[in-house]
Amino acid sequence: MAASDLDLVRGTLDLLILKTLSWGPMHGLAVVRWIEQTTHEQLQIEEGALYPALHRMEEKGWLDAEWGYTERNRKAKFYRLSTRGRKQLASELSRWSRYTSVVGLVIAARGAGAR
Amino acid sequence: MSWANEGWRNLRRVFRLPLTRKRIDQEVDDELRFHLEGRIEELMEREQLTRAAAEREARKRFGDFDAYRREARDIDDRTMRYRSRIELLDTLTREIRHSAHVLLRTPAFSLITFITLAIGIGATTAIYTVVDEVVLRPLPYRNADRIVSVMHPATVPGSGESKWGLSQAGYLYFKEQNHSFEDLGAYMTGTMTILSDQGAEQVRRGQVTASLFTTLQARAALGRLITPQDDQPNGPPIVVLSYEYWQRHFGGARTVVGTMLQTSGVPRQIIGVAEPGLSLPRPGAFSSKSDLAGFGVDVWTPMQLNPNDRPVNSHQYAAIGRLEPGVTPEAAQRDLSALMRDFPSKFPTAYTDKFISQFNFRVSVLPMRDEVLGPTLAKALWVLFGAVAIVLFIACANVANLFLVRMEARRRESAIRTALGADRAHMAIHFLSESLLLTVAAALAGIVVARIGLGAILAIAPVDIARLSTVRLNGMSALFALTLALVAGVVFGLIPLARTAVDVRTLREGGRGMTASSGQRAVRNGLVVGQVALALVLLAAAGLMLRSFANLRNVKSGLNPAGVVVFETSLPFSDFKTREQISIFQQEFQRRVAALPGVQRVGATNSLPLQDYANGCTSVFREGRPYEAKQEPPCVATEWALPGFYESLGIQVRGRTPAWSDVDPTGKSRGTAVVTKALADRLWPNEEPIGMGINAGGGGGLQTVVGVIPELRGHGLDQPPSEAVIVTALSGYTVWTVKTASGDPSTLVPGVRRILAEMNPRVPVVNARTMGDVVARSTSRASFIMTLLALAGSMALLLSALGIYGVISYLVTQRRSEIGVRVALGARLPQVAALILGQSMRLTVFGVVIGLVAAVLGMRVLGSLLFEVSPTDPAVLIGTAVTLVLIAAVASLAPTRRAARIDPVEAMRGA
Repeated sequence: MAASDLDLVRGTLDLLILKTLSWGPMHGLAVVRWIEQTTHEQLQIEEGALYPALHRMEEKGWLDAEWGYTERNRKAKFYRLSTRGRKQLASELSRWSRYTSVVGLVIAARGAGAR
Repeated sequence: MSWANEGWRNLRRVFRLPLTRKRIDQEVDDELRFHLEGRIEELMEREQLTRAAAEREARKRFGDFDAYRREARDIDDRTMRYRSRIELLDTLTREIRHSAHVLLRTPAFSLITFITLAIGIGATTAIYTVVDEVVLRPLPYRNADRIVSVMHPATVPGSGESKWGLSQAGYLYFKEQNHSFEDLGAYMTGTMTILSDQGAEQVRRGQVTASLFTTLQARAALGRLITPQDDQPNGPPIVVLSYEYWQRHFGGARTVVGTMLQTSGVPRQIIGVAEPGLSLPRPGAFSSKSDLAGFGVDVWTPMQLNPNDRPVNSHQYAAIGRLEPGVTPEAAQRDLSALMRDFPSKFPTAYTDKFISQFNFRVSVLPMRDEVLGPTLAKALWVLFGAVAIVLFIACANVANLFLVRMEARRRESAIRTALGADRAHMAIHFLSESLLLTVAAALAGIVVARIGLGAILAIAPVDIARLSTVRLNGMSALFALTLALVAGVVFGLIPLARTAVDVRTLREGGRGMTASSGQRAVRNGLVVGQVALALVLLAAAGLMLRSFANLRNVKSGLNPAGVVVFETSLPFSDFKTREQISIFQQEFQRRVAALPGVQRVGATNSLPLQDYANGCTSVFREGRPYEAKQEPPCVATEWALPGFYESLGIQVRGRTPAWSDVDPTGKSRGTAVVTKALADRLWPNEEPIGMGINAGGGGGLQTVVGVIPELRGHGLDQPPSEAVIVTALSGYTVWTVKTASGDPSTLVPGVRRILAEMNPRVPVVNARTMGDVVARSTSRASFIMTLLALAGSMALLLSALGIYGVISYLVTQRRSEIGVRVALGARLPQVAALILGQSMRLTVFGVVIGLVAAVLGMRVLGSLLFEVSPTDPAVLIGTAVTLVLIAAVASLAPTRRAARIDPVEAMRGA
């Protein structure tokens, strides 16, 4: 993906992670894969950036983390939305949709300018 | 906080929370490596890349590995620190809540511990506050540690050690010649009558040298203090007001400086107001009374000594020096002692070598604080402090025992906790929170106890104890109480911890392992033995003080204070210029007071027995019998009395008591005097003193001895019978002794005031009180110390009894099955009782023996506090020992009865 898209992604990374984890506990790699699959690989993020974000959200208490085992029996750190995380997701979602609709209004408007 | 805990606990369920930086780093590494590894495998599988190519691709997609790793680590590190803080707080609140719960579940234990500790801490805090305020606090002067008292100790032949002030010549010589002092000042105290629109008022006056103010580094609040220019012979009549008097009488008006103060003598110009709280350290050179709060002075006047006065052997000047930095009092004393050797050659009219050797006349330089406190007061207070500290120890021994017992009851709990992986730190928090909760609560209650206790102490405290009236609980007291509580709490809390290591075995023992190990038993028994020993020491001390006090009370003072009211008057010089005027006034006043309802006898003196009696001494001479050349005349108390004095105070007189006909205001005819038997025995051994001529005061006047007082202890009940001569004479300053039916000053004084208002409104009445009060005050120190020691002693007794009761009760519970077996095997009640009582007696006797040894060794400390009782008085020691054994027996009665009632079948089944 282009570097110029990165800023946009970073602003919304938290939202993407929260939304992804709302489907169930996942480890970091699974989160990346999920985002890749659902966006048909149109939205690629620098994968490493995921981890500071995950840890920060864990620090804030939006996520609970625990070590567990994958289907292949590998030790991995799983993240799960906490109650607070769910609330956070809800508020971020509404903020996002408000934001996009406002941006949409501007973009869709015609005949702007001095009268 | 709940969310954090929730998350953290979930985490810990699988793996423990990473608590070290190293673990955090490891976990972050593991997590990131898992990611990379997963990607690599995926790429190799899906896109058939070689491992190297897959790795390159994975790393490329990942971005800056090291940067992200560092970022994640830092976040986790922060999280860890935050969470461990929360964990600690959480653990604490949880433990405290848990502890409170546990403590409330065993209310008996908690309540006994709480009360015991609260009383112990409270009592100790109260006495500590007193000691702190009275003994430890510096005197209220700037750089007070360098302020010393300069006095002349002397051994008066026949009446022992005494301390005199400096003579005028001696003071001036010391001041000029010394190499030790920054400054040296002298003062006398007295009274002055101030006249105003409101009438006559007698105020306390400090007559001081200008150097006294510089010595004390005193400052003026307004105007100026007395300067060397003011302090010249025949200098101006000026006065400096005390700040308090200025506030009280002039409402703090600044215009007062420069105005004249009307007195019964010369009017004095007010030149300034001293700083607030400025007082003299002691009332004067001769007073035995001392007060660390100082001697309050209302007005300051200049001494105006004349260096050209003929030197006389009269030591009325109290002296205060300020040592040069680095000079010790001892060095200053050596300095002055060397100067004193010049006295006979410099001042032959005042000092002779014979006088100096015969009176063992010396000079002493003592830190003012030591001089003010006196040799016994500080000691007495430390003894009291020691006593309450012992009470606290005993209380703590009890509490420690309770904790030990409780710990055994909870061995399973601690064992389970240990087995479940609670580490020692966690166990420590667990037990500490419980003990600290208890001790800190007890300390808070203790502060309340200390407040009440302090009030009680002040209520019974002698008035002459330094600064005592101003003692209040303060921050230091609270800090002291809390420190005690924290130390006690930590010690008690760690008791069970010392044992948790081996406690896991308890679980294997299946709950049967509830008997105490021999080590624990030894500790518990040791505590009881120690307690009994300490209690014995304390009780013995209290017993000794009690005997001292009883001895003191049994001393015949030689006077009967019942119904006697005393008060003072002083006649203004301006109105009473001649002795005739004084005589007429006093006689008329006496007649009128005697006519008041309820009044039986009226007398007067210039110095009341048992209260600052006979400030200093005067040489007396026998008529017609000069002393041998090498013999100094006896220096004895010389007082004045008016007719009626002996009758009103109930002082027995052999011969006759003086009448008004003995009083010759012209001073031409020969006067009369009464002497005490103690003096008569010295002056005229084996002779009839009545009819002899005596000259008290070295002047020309001779008096005929008309009566002998068989016994009079004017200097104090603990002092030998006074050697005194009481001259029948007049004085302007008079202490009236009025024997009344009611003995109530408040019914007498209004009548007296009315009489004075009619006779001369410029004569003030001051210090009305009962003679009983005067007598009680003279023994108030002894009774104060005795009361507090007795209180501490009874607390020790009670607490030890509680301790014995607790341990014996526990013993009975423990040996229940054994006793059951014995009963089943035919042991009878007396045998069972003997078993239990025997155990209790063994501990008690052991403690008593140790206590006796300690008492014999330690009671010497009391030494000078005792009166006519040996520190190792056998009656007291034996009495105390027997009391303790009896109390121990009583304390073991209830547990013994319980033991005797044990049903063997039930006991063995239960076992």
